[in-house]
Amino acid sequence: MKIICGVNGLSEAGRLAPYADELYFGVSFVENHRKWYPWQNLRTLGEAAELVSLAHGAGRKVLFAANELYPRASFSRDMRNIEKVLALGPDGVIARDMNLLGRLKRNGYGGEVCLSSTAICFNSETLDLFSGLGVSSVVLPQHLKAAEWRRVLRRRPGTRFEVFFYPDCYCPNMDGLCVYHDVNRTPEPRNCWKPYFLGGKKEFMRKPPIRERYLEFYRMARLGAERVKIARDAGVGERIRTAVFVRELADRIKKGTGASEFLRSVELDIWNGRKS
Amino acid sequence: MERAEVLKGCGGRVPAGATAPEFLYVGGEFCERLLPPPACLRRLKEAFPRSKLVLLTPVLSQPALESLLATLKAGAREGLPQEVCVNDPGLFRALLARGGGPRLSVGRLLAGALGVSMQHGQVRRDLLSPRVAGIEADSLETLSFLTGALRRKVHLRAPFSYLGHTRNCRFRAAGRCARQCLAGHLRLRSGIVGEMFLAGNAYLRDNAEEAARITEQVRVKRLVLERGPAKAPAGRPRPQ
Repeated sequence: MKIICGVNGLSEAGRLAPYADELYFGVSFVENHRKWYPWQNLRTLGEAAELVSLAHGAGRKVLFAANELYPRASFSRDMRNIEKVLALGPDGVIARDMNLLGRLKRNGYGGEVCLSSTAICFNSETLDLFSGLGVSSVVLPQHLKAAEWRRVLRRRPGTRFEVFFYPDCYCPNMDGLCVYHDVNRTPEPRNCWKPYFLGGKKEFMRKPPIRERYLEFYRMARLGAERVKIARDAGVGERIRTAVFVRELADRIKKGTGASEFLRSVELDIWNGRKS
Repeated sequence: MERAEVLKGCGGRVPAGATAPEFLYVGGEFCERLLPPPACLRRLKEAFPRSKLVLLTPVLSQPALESLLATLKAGAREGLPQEVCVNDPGLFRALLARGGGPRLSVGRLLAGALGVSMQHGQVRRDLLSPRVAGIEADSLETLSFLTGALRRKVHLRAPFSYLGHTRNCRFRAAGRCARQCLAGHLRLRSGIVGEMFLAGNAYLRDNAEEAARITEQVRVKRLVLERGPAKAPAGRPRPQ
């Protein structure tokens, strides 16, 4: 299982490269799923060029995130910007917009086309829809359970897929459909983390317990997830610590550790302060 | 304007005194456990012979997709349901590609997922197909995704608009579902949007004001009303 790590700026790319197998990035002039987090995007084409060169120099693959929907009014401009970034030679693109995917296919784009988790691909028919548009790998939606994905794999064996590191990155609501997360249009909204009140009692939007999220990560790894994604949100130090930790977890799973033993080892790690 | 009512589960009833609406929505847009078996569709058709049955469907896992396709196949012989409101991109593709069968409408979740990509290209051509009866909008933002001829296909949802939903349902205790969500909407207070509602595993908010503004901006093809035991906020969109 490879580790793919989000990069927010050139300065951190050199620090992350030794710990990740692959990197991914977005740019401020092509909308991506970090619209309200400007600091999580590279600012210029020049920076993107340097990042691609740095990653390749370190022997790392690098993907470009263009995973939003692009309106008709600005599609030509968006497409030109996307093509400018792709001309820099990243190894692939992460996307969800069917019109963008169709255009890339018609243009004969030869890199990896990775379907964003926000494309809500929960079944084989959705997979077929996007495969027909040139998609070659899929980032699984966080709310898709391993048991459900196993059924898809039975129908479409050999599908290349990756997962987020669920213990750290798990939206309470379904990503790609959620209106609440940025309904107030403010930078770094994170609305789903904030409490609401039910009959005067404070509550939070629920995620599965941390133990269950580790277990889902384990199950997805056992199903053959090709990559695990460490998102762009945390600081670079935290992302490096997570990458080191995730690699150890992946090694334990590869060695054939059983689910209970895996969970026990994780609990010990948390107890020892290796992971919050 | 066509009139539609969303029923809660198979036991749902149109309120006493109300005439049966032209379209009856049954199923669930947020949870695949609420998808009705063929027998339920038959029962509803008998109970409301003058209403057209619309099967409301959520984002579908593989087992749910296979089960739903089997239900549709079984229902096809009896012409049930008459329409499927689709929220899963794969189901939309599958049903559109098959031809024949029930008419389709694009649910508000799928409309939100397609967003501005509905304005052009193959996505738009698919949506303009005569097979697609309508596209749901429940806010001014979702309406803004629809341009030109697509605005003639607006199915307006009221009196609640969608905010988000989870597949980790709070009503599911110890891995079991008792369908407690059918009891009605719970009123919540959020620091972000003020009053909102928990409807099963979905968060909704009152859209009466926005719905009224939508009716001013476009000629709504169908008004889809959702009722529940919980009292909806005052004010309904004005019919045209």
